[in-house]
Amino acid sequence: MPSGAPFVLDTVLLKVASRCNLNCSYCYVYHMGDDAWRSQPKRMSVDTGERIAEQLGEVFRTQGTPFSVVLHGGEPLLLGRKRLETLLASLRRALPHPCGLHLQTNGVLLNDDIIDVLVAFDVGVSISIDGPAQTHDAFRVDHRGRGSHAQVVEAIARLRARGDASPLFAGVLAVIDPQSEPAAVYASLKSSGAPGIDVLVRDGNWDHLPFGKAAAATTEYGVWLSGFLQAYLTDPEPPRVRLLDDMLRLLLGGRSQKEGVGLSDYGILVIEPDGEIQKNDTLKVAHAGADRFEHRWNIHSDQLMDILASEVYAAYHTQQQPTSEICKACPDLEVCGGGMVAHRWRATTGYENPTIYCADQKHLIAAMRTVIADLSPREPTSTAA
Amino acid sequence: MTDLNPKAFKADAAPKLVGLKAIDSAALARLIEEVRNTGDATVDTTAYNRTYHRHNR
Repeated sequence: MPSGAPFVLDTVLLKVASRCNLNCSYCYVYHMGDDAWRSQPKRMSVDTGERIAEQLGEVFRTQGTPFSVVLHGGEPLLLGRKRLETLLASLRRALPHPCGLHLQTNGVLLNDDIIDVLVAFDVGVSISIDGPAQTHDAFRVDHRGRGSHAQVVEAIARLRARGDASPLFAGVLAVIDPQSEPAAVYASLKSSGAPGIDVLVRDGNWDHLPFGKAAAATTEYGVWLSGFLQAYLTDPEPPRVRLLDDMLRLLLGGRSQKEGVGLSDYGILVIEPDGEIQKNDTLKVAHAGADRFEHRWNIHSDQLMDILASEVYAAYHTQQQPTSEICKACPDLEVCGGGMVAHRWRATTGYENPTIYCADQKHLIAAMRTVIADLSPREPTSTAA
Repeated sequence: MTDLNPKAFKADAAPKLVGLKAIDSAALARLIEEVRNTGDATVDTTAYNRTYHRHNR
């Protein structure tokens, strides 16, 4: 660990289903050249789920600090109601509050039966939606190429309509189309009624430019995010926007939460449907197999406590910190944090590069600094250079 | 392959958000209050966990 501190787990990503009922064209799981999902069982077994819960319980008792488990995929609701209920019961037994259980879903299968289960185990729900129908349906399509926006909007309405379930609605998550209108996307996401909004850039790296980015030095995403920032900062009743809040908080002298922002450690553990322990799954966008450890740890044959305490895991964790000399000398590093590790990849130099979004980050951070400079001098000022 | 040239990474000259008065921003006021009161983002663990979702693309 960079600071020499022990590894603290804060997020467990449980890949409970290896397939998806949607076929989003930008998905890093299926469309970035890594076919590992094909060798995974379609759904996590009850036995694997129980072993995971048992071992996570031990991690929680040992580290003391609560952490979150996020059901993920593929589409996690392909697990089916019965198996979902069994898994959540095991997890909740092992991980009482304030440990969090969460679901990141495309919403298509979010019916009242499933919502009953989520209510029973207090599972927070985040739904993927990219904004207005035209923007969303251009990419988030089913296997026949049909848009999913109407189904997702229905799912959100179903969740919000129930008094017992609406408090579970934690947020919406949108992947950016830099050709879309940021103010329209902001208005659309806000109209979902979600208390929190998060936006993601497309995946890519130095060898494969992200969608919509003409060159490393261009700022299509930086310009789009500045437009989104403007819509957010001028909204008299704004929901939370996690990415922007994190960056602004750092500029104001606070701390960040989000992966890929700032220099805070991010303690993630990824477990595949067959119980294999893997690295941060977004590393898939670098090259096939980039998210795998050399030794194939598995929840059925290895102990999580040993894995998390191992030198190999520490070395992987340290990889989050930017190593590029360009980053180390950059005045924006404390806010940018070097971006997502996966976005630093270049075949010739590995991860020792700035993020491919470096110019975009600088554009956005400069816009934020300009806004903060307009504040009264008595307001907190940035400790970031 | 994309050119990796550090000189390419300079920000545009002071991008300005049109028509925004920072002092009137509800979102900024909320963040300033948080930083002033707690010094960090973690208001309480439950709220933190409740909103701590990861991404599905």
